[in-house]
Amino acid sequence: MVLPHTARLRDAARLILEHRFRNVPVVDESGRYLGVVSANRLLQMVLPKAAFMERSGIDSLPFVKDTLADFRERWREVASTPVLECLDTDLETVTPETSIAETLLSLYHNRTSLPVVDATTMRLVGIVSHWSAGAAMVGEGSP
Amino acid sequence: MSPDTVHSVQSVVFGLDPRWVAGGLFVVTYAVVMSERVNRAIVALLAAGLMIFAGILTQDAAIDGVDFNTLGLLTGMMVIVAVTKRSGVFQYLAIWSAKKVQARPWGILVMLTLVTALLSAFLDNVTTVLLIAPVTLLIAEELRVSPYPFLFSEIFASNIGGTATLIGDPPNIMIGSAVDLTFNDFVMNLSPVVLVVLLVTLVPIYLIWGRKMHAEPQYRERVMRFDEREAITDPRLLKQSLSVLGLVLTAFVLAHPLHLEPATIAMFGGALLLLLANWPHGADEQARNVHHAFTEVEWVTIFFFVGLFIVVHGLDSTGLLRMLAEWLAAATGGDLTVTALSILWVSAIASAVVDNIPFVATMIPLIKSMAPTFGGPEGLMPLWWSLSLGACLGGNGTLVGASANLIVAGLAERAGQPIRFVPFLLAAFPLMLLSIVISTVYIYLRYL
Repeated sequence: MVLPHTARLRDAARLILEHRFRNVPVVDESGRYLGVVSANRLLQMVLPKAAFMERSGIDSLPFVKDTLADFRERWREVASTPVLECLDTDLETVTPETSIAETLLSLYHNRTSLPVVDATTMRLVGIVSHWSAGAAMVGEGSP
Repeated sequence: MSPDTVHSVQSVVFGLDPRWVAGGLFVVTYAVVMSERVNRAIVALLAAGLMIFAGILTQDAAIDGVDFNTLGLLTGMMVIVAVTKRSGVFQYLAIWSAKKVQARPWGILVMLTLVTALLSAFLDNVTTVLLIAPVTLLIAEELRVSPYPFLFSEIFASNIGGTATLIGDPPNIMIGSAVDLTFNDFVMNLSPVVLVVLLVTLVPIYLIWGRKMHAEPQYRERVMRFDEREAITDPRLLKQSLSVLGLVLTAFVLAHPLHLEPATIAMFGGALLLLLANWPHGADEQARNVHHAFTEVEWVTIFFFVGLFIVVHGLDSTGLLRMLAEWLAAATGGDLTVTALSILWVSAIASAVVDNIPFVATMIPLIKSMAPTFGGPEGLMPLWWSLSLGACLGGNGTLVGASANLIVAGLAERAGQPIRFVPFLLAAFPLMLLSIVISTVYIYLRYL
């Protein structure tokens, strides 16, 4: 489940909502990993920019009384933004060679699914999530 | 400084003339600070150390050069603001003023300009814009209008408003402390001209941007739906903060009859507010809150001041500044009008380009040395007001003229509305010159 680099935010939203992902990876035409678009980033896009500035003093918005209709309008305005403009490239990635312990610790620290990227080709080879890791540990069919 | 400090100069490295060593060190310090390649606090502290290593000052003499009154006033006010802003009172004020004018863009611009000017008269300029600019960006985003004219006016308002009082801007704090001028002296002498400058500045801003501003009714409605009361996140803290701020301002006004220095008032106010805000909490939470309040103090600025005071004191102790003052007095023929207006204009142009803090730190001993020419310290008063007006208002001339300008530019950039150097200069420099023309008329009519 990946997005091409030409995708728009509405494509990312569709995948995230359909599959309840925390994020979706974006790859270029040769399958190399570029970054992820996260559900949090989609929230950020419809919220006032002033709330996301370091030291801004606006870390809560209790006084803003915008309605659901206002937020729908904002979403319509940003939905066709290219995903490349909203890419999160800082998210930790793991490789197929990363040890199980290190992978689990990365999941714990990042609290979100992590892309698995081949260290030499930089191609996206999979995604590891709390659910996939959990299922592997518990074992299929076990309680 | 007294002439005998000249004789206290000790053996200087390699037997060089101390004036050359101190002067050279000073020029290099200035150049490196201006280059912005190395953090200015690091530069100033290294230069201060070199002044001592070179034998120009002893450590004791260096510490004598540090104006702890300035440092205490700055730090105390920063602590008070750090605690106060958690109450949400500044957001309340900004939203309230936007709604008072039915969220009409030009009305909001005027209101936020006035609020910024008023706040920066009592708080540090950088703090003021850090409190007001984000709410401005939020309101402009809701209105779907460009935040540029708002932020431009707020930059001007913060530097203009800061000129009005002893505590509004670091140059005034330094001048007030060095010359023993009171809070009331500044209000009486500077606030009339500051008010005129502020109102006149709004005219070109209206002609350039204001008359074309328009927001759709449905977006204005969004701002009108803002509930400013909900911005107050901690009503108890609000009451405590406003009480302490009120007490501190009253103490500034009564400082002279009470024989209190500004640093005592600000530091005591800061400690009192920390006590009130932390009273019922346990040791751990107190430690966390107090630590948080102290981290909000601009330590880079404070340590920059420490280093700078030592460097300028070293320079002063060699007698170089006194020589320069005598030369300047001779050049102006000892004419008070020429000297005052030269200081006003040179300070304005210099402060538009370089940081006004080192400039004022250097000018203070220089002007003090002119006392004999103008009949003692009393005769210097027009020069002090010229220095203050020039150094504070000059900061509006360019984007790098004052720290508040750069802070606003940084916030605007992160909100996707960058303020560029040249477009800002084209509007700001003429407007700054206008404020200096007004100041020239004021200084001439009132003092010369």
